[in-house]
Amino acid sequence: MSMHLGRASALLAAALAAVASAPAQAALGGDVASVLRDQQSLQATHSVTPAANYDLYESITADGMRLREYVDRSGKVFGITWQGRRSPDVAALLGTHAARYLEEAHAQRGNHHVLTINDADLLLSVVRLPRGWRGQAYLPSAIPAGVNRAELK
Amino acid sequence: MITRHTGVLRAASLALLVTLADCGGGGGGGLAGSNPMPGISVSSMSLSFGDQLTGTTAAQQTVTVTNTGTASLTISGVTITGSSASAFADSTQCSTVTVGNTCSIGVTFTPVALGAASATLSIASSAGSPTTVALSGSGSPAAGSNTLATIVDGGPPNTSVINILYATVTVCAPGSTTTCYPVDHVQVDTGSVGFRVLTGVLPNSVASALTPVTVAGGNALVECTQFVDGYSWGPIDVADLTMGGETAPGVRIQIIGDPTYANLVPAACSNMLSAENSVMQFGANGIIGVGNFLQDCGPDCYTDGSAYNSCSTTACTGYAATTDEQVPNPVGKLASDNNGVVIQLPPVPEAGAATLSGTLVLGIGTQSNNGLAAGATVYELEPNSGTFVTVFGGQTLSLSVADTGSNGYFFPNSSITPCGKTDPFYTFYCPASPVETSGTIQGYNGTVTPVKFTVTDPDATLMLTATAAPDLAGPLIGAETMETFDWGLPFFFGRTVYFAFQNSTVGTITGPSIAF
Repeated sequence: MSMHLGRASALLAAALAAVASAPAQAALGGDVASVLRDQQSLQATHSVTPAANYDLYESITADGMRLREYVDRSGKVFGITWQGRRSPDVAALLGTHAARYLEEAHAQRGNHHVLTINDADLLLSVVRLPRGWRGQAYLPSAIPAGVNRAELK
Repeated sequence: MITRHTGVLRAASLALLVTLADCGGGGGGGLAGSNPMPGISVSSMSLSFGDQLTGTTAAQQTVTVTNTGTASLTISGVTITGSSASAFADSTQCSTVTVGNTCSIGVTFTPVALGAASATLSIASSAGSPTTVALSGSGSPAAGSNTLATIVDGGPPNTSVINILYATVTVCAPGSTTTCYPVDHVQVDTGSVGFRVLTGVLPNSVASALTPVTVAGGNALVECTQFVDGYSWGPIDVADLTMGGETAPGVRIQIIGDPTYANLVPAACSNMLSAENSVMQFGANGIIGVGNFLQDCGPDCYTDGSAYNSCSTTACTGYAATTDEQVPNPVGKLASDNNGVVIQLPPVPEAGAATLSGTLVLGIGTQSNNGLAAGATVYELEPNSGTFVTVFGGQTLSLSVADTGSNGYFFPNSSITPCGKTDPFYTFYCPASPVETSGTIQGYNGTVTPVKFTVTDPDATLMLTATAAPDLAGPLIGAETMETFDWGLPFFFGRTVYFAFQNSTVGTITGPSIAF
């Protein structure tokens, strides 16, 4: 695991000790521990990059899938993005919001390549390209003050 | 009596013409005694080209321009305008026509899409207001053994989808021409690769006669296919596939939802949440992926269980399938006409169409009916991702696709109002008034074309029975991450779009490429 030392490192170390062998849990809307569980289950290289109002946790798997989780100062995940040749574990990444994804997957039957959720409390798009995936989900009300949505790449 | 009347009428006409000339309205015929003036007449007010094979050029017709006036006629411009203007072309050497002489304007018709085409030829001259000639014709579908009829019709019974394109593909036991079943409502998808059929669609007599694929240890090769709306799980069998009048022998296909392995779905597959292992769940009886690649997964296929698996009757493990072991593009397995496909669909009125018929043509430039149309532009795709660039609203979206498997235009935009959460068209745009906009498609070979389209509120514009909707569009959240403009099925309405497979050459461009 490669790690950029930053403000998050102490929090990270404590959380690592706490999660041990806990099962994969929600990241979006969850806590830092859930991010670390995601990272452990991915068997990826990791980094944490602090920004002014959040920390960016990035994981890159051996087969090139990149997952970014944006964690606010209270330790809550308010946004995630992913890209790669395969999809990440969408069920785990969305956590309590997975039910909403499932609902829209049923409602948007037949359209196999694009799924969008444009709710007041959840914004999400997933695209399945000919050879790859792109996805983004965030909780608009949880974006820290001063953070531009365009920063969440 | 007759002579007298004629004389009266002639006098009246003269009076009228004199009045017009006095008012400076000029331009009419040559009036004896007044200044010399040019006059114009054309041999026909309309040209009809009838039915013409889409992408080919009809025999030239001619409009003869005559100078009926008393001074030289100057032709300052000949233009073609209207909704199908690009299907017509004119050639003229007319510049000055002396009194009493004629000049010819040649007009050709090359339909770029199925269905009726009309435009207006305008001749601007020194004889006053432009003279117009109505142009009409109709693009007819390619016919022959290398064509499949396609339809947009709302899907198989008990499904309800919009803007999904289907065809019929016949599945046969390997080597058999009798142990066969024609599968209707197979979704035509240029955004994926491979033929897949839902379990239960094939009768047992055919399903049981297909050859299961095994890997080391006698295990079955079982695939997970993930789409955004769910995962489809099932084993790989070998079948002969008949598309139109052509048969691809020994093709690996996926039998989605086969009960033999139904309880062995790996977590890396089912994490896409929604099982799509039945016709109702999938929205089709099967899917024929005819995108630009020759295999569904390609080199370096991932092995975490979300793609290919080696399965015993009790357990599955992720399997590193070589490209030869993967489900192929079935068109690429034909003996000929195997270098690409052409999608032809007619235009759709704003209110939508209850059904829409089109054609899927096998091969590009391999037959008299599938040559690259005059005027079509080739856009080279990025060879690893199969995508092109769209510049839209100042955003450069480098992962753009032309995808029959997407049911609208999907793009990042924050100024068009999305439909509300309780709207039946939730996830689409519902602008208060039509939005006319455009995106610029750029190929990696440097070709650049702006493409206009319109976004309307589907609740306000579509008739209730519509299954094909031309102005349907929806948002993508987060341009910075998505980098995608998805030109879905509405883009194909009124167009002929070519998909050249990887490593095949169209014009001077080596695929993957698209052209339209």
